[in-house]
Amino acid sequence: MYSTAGHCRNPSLQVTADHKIKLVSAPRLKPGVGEVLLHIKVTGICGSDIHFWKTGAIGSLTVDGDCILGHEAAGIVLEVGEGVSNFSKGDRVAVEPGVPCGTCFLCMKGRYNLCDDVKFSGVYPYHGSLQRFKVHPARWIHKIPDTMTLSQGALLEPLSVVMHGISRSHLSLGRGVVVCGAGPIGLIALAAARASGAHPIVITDLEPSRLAFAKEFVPCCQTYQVRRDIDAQENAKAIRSLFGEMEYEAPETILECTGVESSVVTAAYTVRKGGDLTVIGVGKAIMNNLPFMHISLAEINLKFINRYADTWPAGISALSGGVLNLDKLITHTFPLERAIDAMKLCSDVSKGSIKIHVIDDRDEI
Amino acid sequence: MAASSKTSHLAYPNPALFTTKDHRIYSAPSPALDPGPDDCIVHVRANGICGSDLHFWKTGAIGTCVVSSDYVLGHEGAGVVVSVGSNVTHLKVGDRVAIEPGVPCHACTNCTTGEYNLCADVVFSGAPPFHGSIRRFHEHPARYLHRLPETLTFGDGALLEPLSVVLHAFERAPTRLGGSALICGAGAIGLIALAVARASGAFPLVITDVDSGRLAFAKSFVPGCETVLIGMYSTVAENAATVGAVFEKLDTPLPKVVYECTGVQSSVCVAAFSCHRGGHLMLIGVGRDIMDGLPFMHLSLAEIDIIFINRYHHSWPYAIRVLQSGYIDLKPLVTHTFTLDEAVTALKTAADRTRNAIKIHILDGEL
Repeated sequence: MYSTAGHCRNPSLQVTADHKIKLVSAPRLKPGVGEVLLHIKVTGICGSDIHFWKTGAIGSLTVDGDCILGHEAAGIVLEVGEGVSNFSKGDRVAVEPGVPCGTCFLCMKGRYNLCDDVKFSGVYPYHGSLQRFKVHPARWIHKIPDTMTLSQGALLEPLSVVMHGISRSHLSLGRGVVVCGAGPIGLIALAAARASGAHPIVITDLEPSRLAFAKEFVPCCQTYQVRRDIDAQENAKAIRSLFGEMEYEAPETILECTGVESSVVTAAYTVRKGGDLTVIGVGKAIMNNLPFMHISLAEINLKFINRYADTWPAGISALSGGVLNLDKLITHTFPLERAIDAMKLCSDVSKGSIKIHVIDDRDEI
Repeated sequence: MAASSKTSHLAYPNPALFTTKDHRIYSAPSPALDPGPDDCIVHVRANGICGSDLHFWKTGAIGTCVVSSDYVLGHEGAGVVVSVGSNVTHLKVGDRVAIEPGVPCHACTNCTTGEYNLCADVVFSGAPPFHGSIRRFHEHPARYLHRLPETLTFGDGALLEPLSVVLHAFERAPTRLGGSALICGAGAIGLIALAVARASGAFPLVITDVDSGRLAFAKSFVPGCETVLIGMYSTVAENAATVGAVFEKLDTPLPKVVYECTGVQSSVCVAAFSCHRGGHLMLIGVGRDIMDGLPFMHLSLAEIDIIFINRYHHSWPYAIRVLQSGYIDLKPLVTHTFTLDEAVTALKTAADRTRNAIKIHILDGEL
């Protein structure tokens, strides 16, 4: 299949337009002006990578040809391009995958995550980080301190998703929160909510095993197993009762991390009047059954997020400062040469993986 | 639920701590209580002393609150309900409660738009002329008594008031997970702010003071924080440079929010120069009526907004949750305790900097 003998070969995990994945050699590029060449040491796999593989599209983003996947990365600087003065060979960095245009009104406003022309690594046609050598603009890599591992560096991307969601809410010390969904994003949201001082904290999911993991991960949380035999309002009532009997005690913030319609509807009935329902999860193009008048009469803020803006520095502080520890979420690791197995494991829900890291331990010359 | 009973509190003396227009303090029987149907009488088991109590004693005024006659001090109280008014339904005799001292009018614009702390007609128990809670029995509207969970002590209950001050500041100027925080002043409020910043996930944490003893205490109270000694005779520029150097050493940009907890002009100026462009100066500390020397153009060009707080609103339930969660423990701040009979000594100790008191509690035992 692929020879590991040549250290300068660049193995890469690519998705094709006809729903296949393959491990093939990619070119080792040279960094241009303002760019750096990285040895990617760790890439985390995301549900969206699996989705691009199996269905070929997320919203309007379509896989029209071969594309290297991967957008949760950290590595070591190998070479710097012309004009790059703030990085040098050997620097340990995390990669912020989205490269916005910098000139549109959204970029200028600071909401660069919404830039229409963003070049997002790992989304066709922009090659991602599931390869050994990757070129990336120096502006969008972030140095990580020696107190952080590269695996933690790769967790900064999903953490950024959560931090951006939290920043759009009023989550803070002493205030109640519900996290919907105990998948990797929900679990990060759970830990981030705890680290932000939220209390009480409830996490919901359909699967008892996921809830058991959540309880071990953040012991002070309460878990709630969503029941399919009762409707959204009944589930919401049961969740609310974990906080108290009065409207005042109901959770002011909900971090919805599934994107599933029934969960969003349940969340709408759970959140306190005037509270924030922040939908972090993504899902089907059209959502039905939103309880419009309930949301309207309660002045519930229904918010969404799309990726993140300006989150790496705070994420680095939180992880390196020991305020937050997500290491337990890395349940499986694979070497780069076995990236296909990593993708297959991630796509097999029955195996119960949470975050899978693809690691290239090989040292570079 | 027990019917309204006035016998228990009348069976005991009600010593109170008074201050006067001419800057004296003394212990004497409290004025007679005259609770109405919406009030309760609380046997106050713990009272904290605040810098403002000292200020009313020593200088006789804070802003437009002027000591014009003898009144009872104290606004950080918690205790047990011993009598309930005829309209009171949510409390009964024996309930353990914390006292929210400020009672607004409920009718003005500030009250009806959620900012009852700004009510111009607030009856604030412990600010002249309204009698405060440093006495054995205190009358207070039931609506502003908050039930204390069993897991919290009366001392915890008395700490809810200064904690409320800090929580209100963090509500007006939040620091998020992974954000850095700078706190100016390591007195009781600064130390609570340090703990709240920590519990909110802020990192790194930097705290300043002119007193190295206080900084040493800060370091043991919230391990992992960085302390910066402010030179009392250094210039603002020199002190700001010292603070800036600490952030550089930590490889962190200047903080987006600076929590200024002294109210002292030179510290506010240092805070102004230690704040990130586009950030906020959260002025918690109170001080002189007029402040000169603000670096106007520096603040203007950097769009550094100055935010103030005046007390709190709707904070007791959150403060109670915060202490119940166990994320913060403020008990180490209570460095000295005295009995109610020793109230005068307690206040004098609070005023004596050589005693290094942080928070002093006056405790009255079970009857």
